[in-house]
Amino acid sequence: MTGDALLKAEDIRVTFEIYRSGGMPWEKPLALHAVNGVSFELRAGETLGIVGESGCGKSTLARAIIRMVPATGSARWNDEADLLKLSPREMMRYRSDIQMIFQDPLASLNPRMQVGDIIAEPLITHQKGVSKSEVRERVQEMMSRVGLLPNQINRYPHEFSGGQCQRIGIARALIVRPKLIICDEPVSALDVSIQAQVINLLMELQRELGLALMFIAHDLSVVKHISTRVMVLYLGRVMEVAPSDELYAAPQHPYTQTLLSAVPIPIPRSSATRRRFPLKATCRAPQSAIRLRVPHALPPGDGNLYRGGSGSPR
Amino acid sequence: MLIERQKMESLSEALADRVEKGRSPWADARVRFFRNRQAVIGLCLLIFVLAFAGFGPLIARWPIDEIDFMVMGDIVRDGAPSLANGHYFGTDDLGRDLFARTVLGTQISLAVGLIGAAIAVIVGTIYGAVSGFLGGRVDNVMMRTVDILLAIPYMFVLILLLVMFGRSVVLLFVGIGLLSWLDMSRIVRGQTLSLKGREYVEAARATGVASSTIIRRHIVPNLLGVVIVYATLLVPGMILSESFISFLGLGVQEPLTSLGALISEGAATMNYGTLWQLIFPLFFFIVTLFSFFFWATVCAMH
Repeated sequence: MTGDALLKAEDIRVTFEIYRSGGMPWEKPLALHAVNGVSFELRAGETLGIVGESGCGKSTLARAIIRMVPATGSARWNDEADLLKLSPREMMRYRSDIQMIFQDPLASLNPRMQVGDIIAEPLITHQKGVSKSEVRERVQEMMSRVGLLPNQINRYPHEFSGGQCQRIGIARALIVRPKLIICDEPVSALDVSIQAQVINLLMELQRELGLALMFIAHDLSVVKHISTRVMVLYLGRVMEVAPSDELYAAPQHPYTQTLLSAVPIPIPRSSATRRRFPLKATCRAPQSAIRLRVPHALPPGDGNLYRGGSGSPR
Repeated sequence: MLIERQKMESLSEALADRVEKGRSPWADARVRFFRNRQAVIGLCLLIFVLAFAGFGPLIARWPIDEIDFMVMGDIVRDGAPSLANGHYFGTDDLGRDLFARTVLGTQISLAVGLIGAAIAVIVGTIYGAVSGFLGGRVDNVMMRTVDILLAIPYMFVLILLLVMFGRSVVLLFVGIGLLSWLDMSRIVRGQTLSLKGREYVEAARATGVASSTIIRRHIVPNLLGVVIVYATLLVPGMILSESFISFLGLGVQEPLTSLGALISEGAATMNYGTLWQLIFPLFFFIVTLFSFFFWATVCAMH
């Protein structure tokens, strides 16, 4: 890899402390390693797909990078600064460079605000001196760019469909001309035809503006379509990182093979003949979970992995 | 043909130019409100009470504190409601015009209710939203303070204050208002906790919007539904507690009066054949409470 990475993350760890319910205040909390030493690189114009099952730390990783959850490690931005070590005030400078698109399109828009104000929010937060008419102009320009009618600027989110709401979310992310967009399962809540529209819009915008994308999803075929490289996460760890084509053609890691073998196939008859690698144990074991669940041989875990409950940490 | 085409072009331009006006959730609520008969009745009653308090002094032919010596001798016989001598609601026990006094009483009761509720809404909303949004230790300290204040028997403190510092309307306002925001702040805090996890708040935080702006722009507008319902329930509550204190004889000072004080005086003489002294204040008291409760139930349903 060259040194011109836009974002270079090294050994990112997010640990949540879990206090046992009914436990005494002086008892040591259990540590849940939601993200456990993840490293990756992302260059401008590139898309990094992040896949994995529910609760494997995909969203937590994204939240760690924009400092929504405390994390250790380093995330060097453009070789200028380490995002994880900046003070909140210094971080403000970089927040306009990194924007986020959320999973539930309607829930990510304030129901009491007009669409124009929603889209303008990052702009008026980061560029204080912009006049009202200019803000309006830029919002309308952005709206037509993402395929919304600019004259709907005064409408409220509940008047739009899910796909349109996601377009509003994309417009809000793009209005400050960011360099990186973190897409946290942006199409999971949409139906298939709208998914395609949104994905194609994202790819088109990426080409035009030279954006880097971090694309989190659990739909493997969508990730394959959009990503240049794919990173497979499992229980907070990177299983495999490879260029998209290679990963899908020849998965190296047993977990990746298992994951890919579970992808539904359009013609069900052929699925009878294909080979599946089911996971053996269904419960999540506290230690060396990877060895237990992935049927093939695997280097043993370091034993500090703990998973409590079945819910995913968010 | 050419004209037709020009027409069509100008029409399409005009359509494209027109900025579509969005219907806010509030506009939706307004439409539903006016379809609801209960709500409209409540609103009409409220307008009636407000009009009575507002325009009553223009109609009254007697001032609130002038004793009519013509009827003073025998209130039961001469002081009954009559259009002829200008005592529309009759006179009270001392021969003062009851119409003017009921108007004044309604004004004061409404003022206590509305101002008290306004203090509760403003203080309670800000306190609760800040506490809920900041969370953690700050939240703990702020909410425990509320718990401690709630543990103080508030009617007792209010009565003590009125006895110690003398009876005054201002003290009554301050006393009732400052003690009533506690429940409000708890409700608002609970609501804020659930709003805090919403994705649009997260989106605002991710883009770096300051906490105070998030509270103002994202939290408070979404709280308003709950706050308004609780405030409409609070107004009659305020009027009731003011009436209770006036009933005890500690509320507003003569010659000022409130509905509670008037009812108290009317109740004292109801055995002597001057029932109008009780009925008129009581009627306006009930209508006021009724309209607010009506309204609150309707708000709560939506």
